[in-house]
This record gives sequence, structure tokens and C-alpha cells, in this order.
Amino acid sequence: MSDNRKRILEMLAAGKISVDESARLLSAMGEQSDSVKATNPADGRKVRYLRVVVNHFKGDEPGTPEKVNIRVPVALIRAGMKFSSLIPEEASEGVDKALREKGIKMNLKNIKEEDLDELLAALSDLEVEIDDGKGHVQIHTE
Amino acid sequence: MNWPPMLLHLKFPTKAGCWGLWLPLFLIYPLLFVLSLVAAPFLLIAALVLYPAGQAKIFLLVLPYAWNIIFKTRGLVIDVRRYGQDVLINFI
Repeated sequence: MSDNRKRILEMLAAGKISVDESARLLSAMGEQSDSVKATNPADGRKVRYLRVVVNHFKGDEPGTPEKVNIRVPVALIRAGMKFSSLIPEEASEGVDKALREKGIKMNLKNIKEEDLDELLAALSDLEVEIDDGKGHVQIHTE
Repeated sequence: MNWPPMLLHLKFPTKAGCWGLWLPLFLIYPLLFVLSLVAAPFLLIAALVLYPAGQAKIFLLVLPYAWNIIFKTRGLVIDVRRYGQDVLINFI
């Protein structure tokens, strides 16, 4: 249970607010969580970039990338999603089919901006690190 | 307001090594704006013609959304380093 909800229920229990007022406050909080913004709940910092860092240890194959550092502005991801909504249905089906052939089972039309906000809000609390011995992958937000 | 990127720093490998390039994007924006103004009437006509078919939205929104993407690329960095052959794309 979030701190705000707990506080509202404590005030209701103490008689400081009425049932109607608590219901109104709780529903207002529910609307806020429906449109969650990508912020860090700890310090309210707004997530601006998504960073992916891949360090590949020197292998025997020539041309193997040693280090990949990608920083993508979150605003660009949102703008790209808006732009992708203009893709005609036939073209998006072709893109989905090409992705499925590569082994990526994803439907681009199903990804909504609210999902992106929730994902970024979750990433603001955690850092993804994968180390398989051959390389190190790190995904975090800034 | 989000300022668009003013410079583009490119670095790509060549036979002799790596070659770097700084592109002044702020000089390209007026040209892009003029091209948008020229293309806008044609897009509007295409939208009116295709409105009965339900395809007008693409032509009406493609320019604003394209400009929105350009404005949001500031801060995009793609940096790939492999055995001395570096590729860098940095929107500043």
C-alpha cells in the first residue's frame, strides 16, 4: 500500500476527514497512477535518457564489437511511438512479420505510451545488468 | 521548450583510420523549413483527395511528427567501438 493511501486511511480512521473526502482523494490518486509519469519516486527526478552499455570482452573473432554505448532520449522514444501510429496497417503487419522471422514476437501496435511510462518508471528504480562471462550488458535510466 | 540539436558529431572508420565530422545542423533547419513549406500544400491536397479512403491522417500529421522527432533527437548518442574502428553519432 502506498504511503499516500495509508495517510488518507489514517486520517479517515482519526476522523480528520469524512468518508466522501477520503473517497475523493483515493480516486484522485487512482487517476494519477493511471497516467504515471516516468519519474524516480525517490527524489522526483525526471527520467530523461535510456542508456544501454554493452562491453564485450576481446574475442577471437575479428570485427566483434568491443563496446557499445547508446543513450536515447526518452522524448525521442515517445515521438517515435507517435510517428509509428501513422504507419499503415499493411506496413505494420509486414514489420511484425519481419520481426517474427528474427525471433522477436512483438506487435508494434500493442505498445502504448502508458506502457512506456510504466516501464521507464520501473527502470528508474532498478538497473538491469547481465553478465554471461563473454560480455556485460547494462541498462539504466538517467 | 525542447531545443533541437545544433550540432551533429559523426565519426566513422575509413581505410586510413577514423574520420570525424561536425555538422552544423542549425544551418540545415532553415532549408528543411523551406522544404516543409513547399511540401505542405501538396500534402494537404493529398490529404483532401484521400480523405474519403480514410488515409488523410498520414499526410496531415507526417510533417508535424517528423519535426517533433527532429526536435527530440538532442542527446542521442550511438557509440560503437571495435578494435580501433569507432562509429559515433552524437546529436548535441
